[in-house]
Amino acid sequence: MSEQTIVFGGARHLIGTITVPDAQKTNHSRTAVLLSNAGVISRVGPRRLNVKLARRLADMGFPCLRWDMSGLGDSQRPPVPLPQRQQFINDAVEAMNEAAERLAVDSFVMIGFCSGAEIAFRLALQDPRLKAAVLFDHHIYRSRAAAIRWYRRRLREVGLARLPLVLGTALGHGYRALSERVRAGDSGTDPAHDWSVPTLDQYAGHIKALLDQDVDLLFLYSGVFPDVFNHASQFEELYGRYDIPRRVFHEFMPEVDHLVTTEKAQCRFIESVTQWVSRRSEVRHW
Amino acid sequence: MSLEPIDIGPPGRSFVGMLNHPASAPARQPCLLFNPLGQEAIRTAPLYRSLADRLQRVGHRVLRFDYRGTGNSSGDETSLCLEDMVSDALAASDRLRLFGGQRQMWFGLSLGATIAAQAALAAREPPGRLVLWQPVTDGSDYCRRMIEQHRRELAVELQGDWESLRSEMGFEEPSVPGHLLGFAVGPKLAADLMGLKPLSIPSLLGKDTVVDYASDDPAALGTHAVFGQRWQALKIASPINWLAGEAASTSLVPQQIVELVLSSRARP
Repeated sequence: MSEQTIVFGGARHLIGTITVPDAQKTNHSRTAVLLSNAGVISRVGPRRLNVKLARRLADMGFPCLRWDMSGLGDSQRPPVPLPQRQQFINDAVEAMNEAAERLAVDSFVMIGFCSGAEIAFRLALQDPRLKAAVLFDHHIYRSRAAAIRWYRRRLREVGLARLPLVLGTALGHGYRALSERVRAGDSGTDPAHDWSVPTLDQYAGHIKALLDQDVDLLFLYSGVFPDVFNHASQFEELYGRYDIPRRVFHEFMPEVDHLVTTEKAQCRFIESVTQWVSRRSEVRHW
Repeated sequence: MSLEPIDIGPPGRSFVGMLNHPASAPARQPCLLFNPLGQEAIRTAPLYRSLADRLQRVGHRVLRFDYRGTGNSSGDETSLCLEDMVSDALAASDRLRLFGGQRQMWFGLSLGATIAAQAALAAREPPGRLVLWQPVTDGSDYCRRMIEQHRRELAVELQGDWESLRSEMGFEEPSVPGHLLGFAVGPKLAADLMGLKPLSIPSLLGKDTVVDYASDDPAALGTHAVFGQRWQALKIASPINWLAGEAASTSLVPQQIVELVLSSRARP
């Protein structure tokens, strides 16, 4: 495996690291894996996870490009920057163009953490070269069953003596959620992001559009919002009525925090992602 | 171009650097920036990037680098040790010196400052100015803080208390050596941290180096009258826990650091 830091982009403003498999390990795939920033964290990723993922994937034969989006990490802003989300999507297109030229690939998988997942999702909607996306802690919605599970947990934690407090809090939350739903038709709230959050209906619509484009999707959820997303069955609870679960892959990892801190969490995360990429690559002949 | 990625060191043992070339000529004092480790490196990356950009704008050539086994550099994270990191730093300094210019200014924060101080003592050509922001001088205390932060971070992230999380999620009790805040602390680094000794200020000043030492330790702050004009001890106005995963209400780029690094401090 070899790595090289590169400068690319129309304005030569983007910095990235290309990871290339050793000749004897290449799988001759025409697919490269893209990794980018999570929030303001540089291209190394939270807890250096992008580096570990890229090197493991390269060991499996997949070339990778991890890069810093405009203004983050080592990358500069272009001379005339666009609004942030659009700029980041443009940066991702530039990353694909650069990887296509350097690595002789024509299709891509993108792994997105949190805000990076939003970029991967939006990119997949507009660029057919993106064949698959791993979305970690992307939009998170609460189901009714999730709310019940959460309040049951709180009750166990605080004990019967404080039941009135728990009930009062639950009623307060329920009233506010009802008010919001009446106002906006929202099925839940997403506490994780600053960019505008679609309603569950809107999000499900976008997912189905990607599935109609034949994009493979892996949804991964950490345990960081136990009051909102708190069970392996919740994906089915939320998306079953849209007929989505049978067409995608999803995994709830309650012991994994949003930054993937523990060694066990990192092992589980890396294993889930890399094995999925490998299996889909075989099935889909990327 | 004004920003150039470079490889430093011989093939097979090279590591990654980012060189900011000066925006104007003639170039001022070349600057070498020393990263801290692990989560502190992640958390302070925007600070180091901002410092490099600002120094570049006023005419300094600046080199940031990732020690082997860290950041984007190759190498085994579990094999890190201070001796290797000092060796990498000296190689980076040699590389920066190829561009000529005055004696260098070195800046480091936390363990980055500790490594910078050790490198300054070992260097054949020590820096003209050393800016040490909150260096780690008590390694066992530093390890204790990492362990506490590891427990605290998981408890906050997963909204539970540590003992419950340990039993429900099967978390291991954090330890040194071990895996803390997402990074390996291998046996060699653990031994180095536990064996850290306080900085020898007379030794640093004996290298004809100007030293700026920023700390929130009252004992360190009372030293400036003893060591003369080449030694400046400053109190940190708003201490920040660089081990924390998020900036929360603190600044990504504290103005006091920027002002200190950008200020001129020539040998008297």
